[in-house]
Amino acid sequence: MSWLPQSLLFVAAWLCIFAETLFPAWSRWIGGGVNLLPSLVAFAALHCPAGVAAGLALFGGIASDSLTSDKLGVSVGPLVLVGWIIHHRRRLILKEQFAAQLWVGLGAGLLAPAATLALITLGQRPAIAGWGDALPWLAGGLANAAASPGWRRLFDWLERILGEPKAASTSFRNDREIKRGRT
Amino acid sequence: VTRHASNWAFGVVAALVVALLNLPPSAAGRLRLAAASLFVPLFGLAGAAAAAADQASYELLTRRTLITELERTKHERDALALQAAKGRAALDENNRLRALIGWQSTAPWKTRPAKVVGRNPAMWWRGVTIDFGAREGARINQAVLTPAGLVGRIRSVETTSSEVALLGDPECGVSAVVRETRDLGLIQEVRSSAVGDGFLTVRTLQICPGILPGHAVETSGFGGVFPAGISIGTVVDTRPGEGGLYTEARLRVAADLNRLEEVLVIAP
Repeated sequence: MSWLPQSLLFVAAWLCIFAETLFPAWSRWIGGGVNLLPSLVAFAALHCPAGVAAGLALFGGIASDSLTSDKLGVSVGPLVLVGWIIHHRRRLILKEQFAAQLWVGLGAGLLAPAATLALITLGQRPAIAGWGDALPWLAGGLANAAASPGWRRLFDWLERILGEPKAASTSFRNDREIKRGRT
Repeated sequence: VTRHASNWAFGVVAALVVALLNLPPSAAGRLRLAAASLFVPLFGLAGAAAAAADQASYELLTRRTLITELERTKHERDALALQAAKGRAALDENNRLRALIGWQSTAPWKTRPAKVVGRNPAMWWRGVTIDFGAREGARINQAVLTPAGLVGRIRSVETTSSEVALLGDPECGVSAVVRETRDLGLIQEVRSSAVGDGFLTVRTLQICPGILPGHAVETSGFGGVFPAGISIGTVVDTRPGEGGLYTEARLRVAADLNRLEEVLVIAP
């Protein structure tokens, strides 16, 4: 992916976090906001260099924490973890497959909030998490699963219109080379 | 090499996370504020969009809906104005009654409160009707007053109401005394609505040069109707009477006879 779509990943992260605050009625109904940042970090880890994925996790985590009462940085660690795992396994993931994209999104969407919750509740007695958190957690996982192929299509399209054009294949063929002189 | 680089990238960010989690609260607060400020334009945009949507919904309202709403609001406003007026009147009455009861408890006479329920429109300065009748124990000649001063006496009694002859009425003769000089006099009859201006005249029994503006005039208690010491008014000016045999002093009446709403009747 070229640099311009890569920078737009950060804009998408910014909009994702803002979108989480836009539907208070929905958030009240399911018990929490839906954050699509994990699937975006997973997408970046699959298609971009490690620095971009790590930077996206850092930026997204800090921006997300700035709008909540959580300790600053508590969301960054889980996103980095998601990014690191997927980046290391990216050669084994069939990233062109729709099903694989769904599973990656679902995994990221379930792992990141669970890790964040674990980090927040670490050392808290009594634990602040309960069964009431299951619904927003599952809803977040499913939303990230649905968003994952969407990210792929969106950034493919952005790459086509903003990225550097691919070099046209040369008409030169080695087997048609005319060898001059004696062989 | 690539794997090494990626590990480095994630490792650096992980180290930053540890540093972030251990930031002092003030630094973390500043960083949080800076990060949150990134969203200010978006929140502004969302607010503007919501306002625009509201505006658009106003544009879609039909004239009929607006007129119906306007009519409903007008009815509601009228009802509220009526309620407010009633509330104000009740509050005023409450304050007056509180003052009356407060004064009643310190007055040297045993009094009963009564409400003014009517006035004769033709001779309004001469009498009022109060809701204190024979059933409540009213009797003719009972003195009627307010905390400010004397009002008059009961002229006639019905079952549930009584007619009060006000100061200045020919049927309400009052024997008065100037508090400072102890000169005696009589409250003069008022033949027109002049008492409406709040003034009465007291005629002394002899020439009294010692009466000065500002002196207080009160009931003397000699007439047998009014107990002594009820304030009638304050001397405004004096002049010699006909033939120089007496003095006429103009008084400003202490009780506001034009605005009587609640009064006290002195019990026998």
